[in-house]
Amino acid sequence: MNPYIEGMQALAPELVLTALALIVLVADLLTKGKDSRRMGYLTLAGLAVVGGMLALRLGEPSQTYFGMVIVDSFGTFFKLFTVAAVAVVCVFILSDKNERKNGIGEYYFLLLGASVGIFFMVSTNHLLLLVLGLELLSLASYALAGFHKGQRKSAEAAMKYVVFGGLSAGIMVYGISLLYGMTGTLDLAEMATLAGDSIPTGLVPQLYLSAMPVGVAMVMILAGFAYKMSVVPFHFWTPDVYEGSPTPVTTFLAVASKAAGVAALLRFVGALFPVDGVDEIIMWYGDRFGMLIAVLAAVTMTLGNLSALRQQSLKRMLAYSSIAHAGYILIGVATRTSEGFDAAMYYMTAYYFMNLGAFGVLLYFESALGSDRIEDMRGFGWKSPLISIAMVAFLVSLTGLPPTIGFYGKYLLFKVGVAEGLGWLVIVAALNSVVSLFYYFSVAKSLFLKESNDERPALSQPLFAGLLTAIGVLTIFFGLFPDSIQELVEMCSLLGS
Amino acid sequence: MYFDYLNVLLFSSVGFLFVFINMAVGSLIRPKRNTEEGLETYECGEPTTGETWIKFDIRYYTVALVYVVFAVEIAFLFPWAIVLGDAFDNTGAAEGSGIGVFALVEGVIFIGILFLGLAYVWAKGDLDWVLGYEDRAFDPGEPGPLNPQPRSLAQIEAETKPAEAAKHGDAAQDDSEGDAA
Repeated sequence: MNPYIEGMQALAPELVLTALALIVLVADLLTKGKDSRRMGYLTLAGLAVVGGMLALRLGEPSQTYFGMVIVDSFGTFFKLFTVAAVAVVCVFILSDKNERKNGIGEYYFLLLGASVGIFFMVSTNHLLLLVLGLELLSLASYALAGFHKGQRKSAEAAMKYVVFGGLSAGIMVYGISLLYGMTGTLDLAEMATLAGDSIPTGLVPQLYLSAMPVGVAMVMILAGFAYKMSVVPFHFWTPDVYEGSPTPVTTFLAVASKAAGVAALLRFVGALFPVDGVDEIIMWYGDRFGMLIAVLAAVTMTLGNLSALRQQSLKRMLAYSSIAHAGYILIGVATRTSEGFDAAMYYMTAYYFMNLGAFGVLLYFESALGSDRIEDMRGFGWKSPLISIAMVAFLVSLTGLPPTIGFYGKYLLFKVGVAEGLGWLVIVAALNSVVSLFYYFSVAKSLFLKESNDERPALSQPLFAGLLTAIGVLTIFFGLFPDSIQELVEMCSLLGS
Repeated sequence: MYFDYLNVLLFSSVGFLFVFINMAVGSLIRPKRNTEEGLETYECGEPTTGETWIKFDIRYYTVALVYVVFAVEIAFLFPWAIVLGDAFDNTGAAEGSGIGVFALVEGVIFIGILFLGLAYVWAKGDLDWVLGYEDRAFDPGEPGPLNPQPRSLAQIEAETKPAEAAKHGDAAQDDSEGDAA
């Protein structure tokens, strides 16, 4: 068969998603923005189709199309969670009491556009396509962050995001251009192989020649990933953008966008610096690269947790907590082993559940109280017990205590960290978890152990409350029975075990 | 290998020096008469008025963005159009690929998506340059020296006509009131 047609068939989920985005945009134009809720339902239906197509592809062998796009289970894993996260975000938008009811059709279009960017970002070893996907995601995210353009905070968030994103992307692209100049290829797999011909190409001869420029290029490329994952020192945008953006957008940024960064970083490190590299010099410098990531992990989680301690606003606290979680995930990346990557993927799954839930509850509080201050949530647990108990489950999971999915994720990360000689990092992470217990439980304390002086009744939103409760139940269910997700992760493992 | 980059260095240094040498030559040979008028900001002969920090209509950027869309479209369509013939004939750059119809359909989809962008801008009214005061999406904020208020034609006429009316008598006065209403 014609390889182009074959490639298009393999890219069917991406094509359907793109078509869905365009259909939503056109439908919104045709209805003159008068019926935005229906756009939301249309988006949900389309996402269900894409999710079904992706689920059928799980477990298929890895294949490369057009020399750029890799269709494998690892990518499908992240795409599935992206689709799920965007669907949940759509429900958030539909349930948001503060959101305008009409003229927000672009909300869904931009979310879908960003998802297309994520889809390509997580399924390529080609740096050009990686940058394209990253930019598509970023551009849509900038517009989403400033979606409430009349609000000063939202506009400020968008502005900060654009400036910071432009800077980081610029640094990353410059690093990529250096790498291209040295190795003559943009394909990571090609870069990692040993040159057999007379002209030396690839990373290995360059490392023997001079490792310094490679190091510079690697650090610069790492800047782009660090920005997407909000890893220190590229985390500065996170609290302000998360706080200023509309809460559904914050959810998207904290969950889907960060996961895309993690997936791309896993592919990058896995292709260039695996533990069992092709040459001893790769392994030698791989150790140093892993150490750099380990140090970043330690700094990131410590800074995130210590800053979260002092936050009055739940939204800002969750922003700093998401920085801290980026640090935990980096433990798995730093090991550069198959087990480490699997642990990072498992933790990412846990992160999806607990953060979708926590941000959803935040949105609920914002709708009910008009405030995201932890102080204002006093005694709210007795008014809407179901959602508040779910919130406690998310908080327990975020802290990493049993019997939740977050506990098992952290256990896997710590186990692989100790096995791969990163014991010091695991100790730092464990100490950090103790610190995080303090601020996560200040929320639970405020919800249940304090007297309310607020007379406002709880909201009645059965769909929204049901969704949050379901996520809460799953958070505990997968903590008690982690095997199903464990099997999924092993099936989708990047390096193969 | 690093020697290959020498022409890049040469090119940038020549570009750099070109500017500075020209400015240096200019400053050496030009007459220096620092009169008050000579030191003013050049505005095509008009006297300068007001601050340079004024609010700038954001619609200029919208139009610039729409322009970029089509500039990029042209940049992508040229190479596509050139190899399309080869693709249909299975010759030249596309030899043996058999992607003739595929390439055509892809190109059409690409143009279609860009056209959708234009339709979007059009439907949202960003191509209408002259907007009435009531069409503005936002509260323009408190008027002040940094925030001159846009005025409708009727308002401007109402403000300027009384002065003329004083010259020409009552008939003009009635006219301006009619306009303002």
